[in-house]
Amino acid sequence: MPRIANAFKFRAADRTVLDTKLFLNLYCPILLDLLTHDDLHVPKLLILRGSPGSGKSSLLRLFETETLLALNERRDRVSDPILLEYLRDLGVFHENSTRVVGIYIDCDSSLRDIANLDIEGANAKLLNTILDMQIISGFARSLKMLVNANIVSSEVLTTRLLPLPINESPSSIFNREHTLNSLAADCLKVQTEFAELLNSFPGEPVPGSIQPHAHIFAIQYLSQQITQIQAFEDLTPLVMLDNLNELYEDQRNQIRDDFLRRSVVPRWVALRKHVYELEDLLSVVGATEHREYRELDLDDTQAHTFRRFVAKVAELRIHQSASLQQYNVDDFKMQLKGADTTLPKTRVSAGIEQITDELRSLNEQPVRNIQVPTGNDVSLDTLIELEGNLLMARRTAGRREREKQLQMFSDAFLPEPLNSKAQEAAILFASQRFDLPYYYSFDTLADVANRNVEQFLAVAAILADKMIFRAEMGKEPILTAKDQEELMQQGAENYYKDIEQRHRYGYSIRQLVDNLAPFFHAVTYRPTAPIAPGVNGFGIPREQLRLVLQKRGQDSDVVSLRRVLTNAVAGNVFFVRSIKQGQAGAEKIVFYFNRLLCVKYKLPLNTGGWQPLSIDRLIQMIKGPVQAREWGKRWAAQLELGEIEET
Amino acid sequence: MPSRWSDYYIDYDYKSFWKSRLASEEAKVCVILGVGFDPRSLVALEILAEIAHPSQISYLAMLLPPPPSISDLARETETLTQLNQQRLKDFKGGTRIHQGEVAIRDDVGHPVGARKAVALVNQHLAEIALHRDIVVDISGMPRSFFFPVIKYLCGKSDQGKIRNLHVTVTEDPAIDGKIRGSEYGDADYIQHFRPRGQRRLVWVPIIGKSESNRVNKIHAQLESECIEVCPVIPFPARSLRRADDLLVELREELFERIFVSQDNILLCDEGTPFDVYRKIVEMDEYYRERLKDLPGIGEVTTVVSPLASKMLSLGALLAAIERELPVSYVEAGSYYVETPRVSLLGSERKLNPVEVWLTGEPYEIM
Repeated sequence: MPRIANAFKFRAADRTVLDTKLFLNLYCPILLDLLTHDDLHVPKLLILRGSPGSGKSSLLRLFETETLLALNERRDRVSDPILLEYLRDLGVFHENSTRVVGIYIDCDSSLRDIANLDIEGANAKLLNTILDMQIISGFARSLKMLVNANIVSSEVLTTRLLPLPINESPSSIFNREHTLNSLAADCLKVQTEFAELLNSFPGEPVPGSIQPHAHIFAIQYLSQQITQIQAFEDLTPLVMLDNLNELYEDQRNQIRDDFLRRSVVPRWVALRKHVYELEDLLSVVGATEHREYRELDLDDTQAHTFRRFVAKVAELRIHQSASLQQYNVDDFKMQLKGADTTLPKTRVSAGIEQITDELRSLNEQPVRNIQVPTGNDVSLDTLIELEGNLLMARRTAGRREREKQLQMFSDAFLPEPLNSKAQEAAILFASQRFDLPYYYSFDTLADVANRNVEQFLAVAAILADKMIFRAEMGKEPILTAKDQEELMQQGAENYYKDIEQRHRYGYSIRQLVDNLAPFFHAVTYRPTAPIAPGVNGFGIPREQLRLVLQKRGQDSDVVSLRRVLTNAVAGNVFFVRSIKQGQAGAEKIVFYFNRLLCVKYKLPLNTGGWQPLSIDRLIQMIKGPVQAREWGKRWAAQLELGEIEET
Repeated sequence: MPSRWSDYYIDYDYKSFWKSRLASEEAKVCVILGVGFDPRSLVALEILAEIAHPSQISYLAMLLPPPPSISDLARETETLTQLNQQRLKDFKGGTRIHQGEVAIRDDVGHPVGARKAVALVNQHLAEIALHRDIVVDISGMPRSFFFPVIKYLCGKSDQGKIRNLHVTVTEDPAIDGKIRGSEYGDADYIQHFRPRGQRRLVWVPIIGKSESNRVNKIHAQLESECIEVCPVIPFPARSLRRADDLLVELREELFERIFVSQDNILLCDEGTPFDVYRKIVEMDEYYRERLKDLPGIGEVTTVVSPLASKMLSLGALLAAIERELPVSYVEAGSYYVETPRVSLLGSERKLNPVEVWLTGEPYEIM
């Protein structure tokens, strides 16, 4: 019986908190699809890039020795075979045991802070030293676990390790003979004294055990042991550095240079995805992809793959939640009810009247192909069709008007058919007019996650809470479409409220969101929905953005804009797509709202609808409230700006 | 085991204390202060100037740059900072040892202020040490500055390089209520207060109003090693309902997410740093002794997080200095003042700093 009330509140990366078994129960292996057998067995630098919450840390932590051993112990359990299957395909498990020695290192501020120590220019070398110590300590600790699990012979602990050749100019710790135990003890001493060094004050001496290393020697050292010592020969050390983006650029490049060197030890690094296509947190220019390195973009999954992924994530959590464990993900999806297919006419009659009145005023037949409903109930499809008819009638009337102005043959007009995008706009408009739920179903829940597992869990946890509450009250844990929408809006509100406190330049990011939202809303809900189904992004020409990014200094508005946009994209408040439209070189970088912001502002969840905005307008929008009348002349001609400001 | 500040000196009548202490013309005092937007930044220095001759007073001022003035609110903070800097420029009551900007973050946004603040004090240590009394005024200084600076100066005092170390703080809940921290980064250990080796942790967050965001961030940083959470709530406080209000405000974080046992909640007097200091020291001792032999636990250390008033934060600092405890904190990227400037400055006349004597004469006779 699971003891967790709502397992959606746990992220898989919280492995050490949850305990390894629970981590394995919660881990969803679909991202393992991205890895290949060669990533472990034809070693090169593997660079995992992804936005925060895309699953980088969980993926790396799965390959830690402790996790692999726990999985190996539980290999007969029913819940794990898919995960085991994946890992067998990757060559992690062979004949029911693992020989992978997974060494996980989190690049936290203690590594970064080495760059700020007052140690006479030895900072870079000391970073090599501490990384060497962490890698070797991790290797020794993992190997002891394998020995304790009787997977590796205890002889490895006393085997003489080979020093690195003197012509490699290794640091003193690697140029003498060791056993694994003596080496681990030396490393531990250095690590302890490193903590002292980081806490030391100016003028205090560097502890004696800490020697600067010219390079990261640990990879080379491990390579030598596994290629030259029989007891180690079938082991696969795997060095994993997580959160590399936390380090300074020089530190990242220094590690990159050492990790790009050929070695039989696989090296994986994970870092936040580059903020824009134009900036790179770890440049590998000059190196050859697939020979020296391989890159994986964890965000680069198709919508249906992500839905499949989060369905699996949800299933694992449903099984671990006490009140929901009897359900599977299909049951869960079924509890998320669709919208009512019919509505009482009394509820929608006013809206229908509005539509028919407007159709008449446009000289259209009230309805072209359908009749105005006469019974007590009206079907949802009818309402959407009416809304669609109105939308197309407005478009036709608009075209007729334009052509009239140009003195062309207005009689030649035929009504346009309702295409799929206009149909989507009609659904959105109808949901507004008739107060119908718009955001519901499991697929929508997946879509509002913005391809981010953490965001999915944050919103799904709210829905799960309500389902659990109903289950505990002895009721069916059903959520109506209206319930789902309200709960997703609650998630959206939580997300919005957190923007200011959560991100650097959060106040200005929120200000930008506050200014963009009414703009997107007004542009989306134009009567003819010309950019159907709606707009939820703004675009900047690539060249202009490049100039913004190159701007440095302190006091410029452009610098402020760069900082705000960079932090907003890094924090996932916006996501970026490159759009090639029109002439060559007219490429735009489009910044789309996080999908939860679309929920908050009742915008569609599609991508594709965007509007260009000038750098000046954006600068204005990060500084303070921008009134609708300041959006520009174009919009003054198209929108009722006075009304928008009033609302 | 007796703790370093089991007997202590605190004086709520700052003016009288210094009037008597500076009665002799040879007595000299050096004030180290941070000058940002906070109207309390200069109060202690200006009071000293009222009661002593300028030749007796020196100061080292760290100017804290305001957040980039992107928004209207940030511009308000910038204006308040400029007002304070002008006040300092106009100050004629003492000799300036140094006055210069100390950035809290570097160009890429990582916190570096602690090291820069310590480096500055270290650079001027010889001049500072010439004074009989050294006062660190923490009223306008971020925690990431005064924590390492006071630790550094305590060390110098222990080495006999300085004589008397004092801390002064000007508390005012009304002003605190008008200041809003925002744009928090990730939780991290304050520089010079990092853990020594990997150990299990007992986390002691000292909690103030509207701190759920920081509580969550620090918990996320520590939870993988954390075996116990003991929140400190101010009681007695100026408002006797403060403790209840905080528990209600943070009930979801504390009891539904972090699963704090109600028995673990510590109540500490808001009016003195020594109550919270004593409790943290005792608790650290308790957990280290009781848990060290338990299988799977091993060595334990207490991690403190100062999220409440400066007075309580000072208590946490004293415990951290004495027991070499790590301090995990989330520095605000910016502070905004949610009130017209006039109203914020209007309350200044009632401000009364508190004197806390940390090292030197009173402790030598014990």
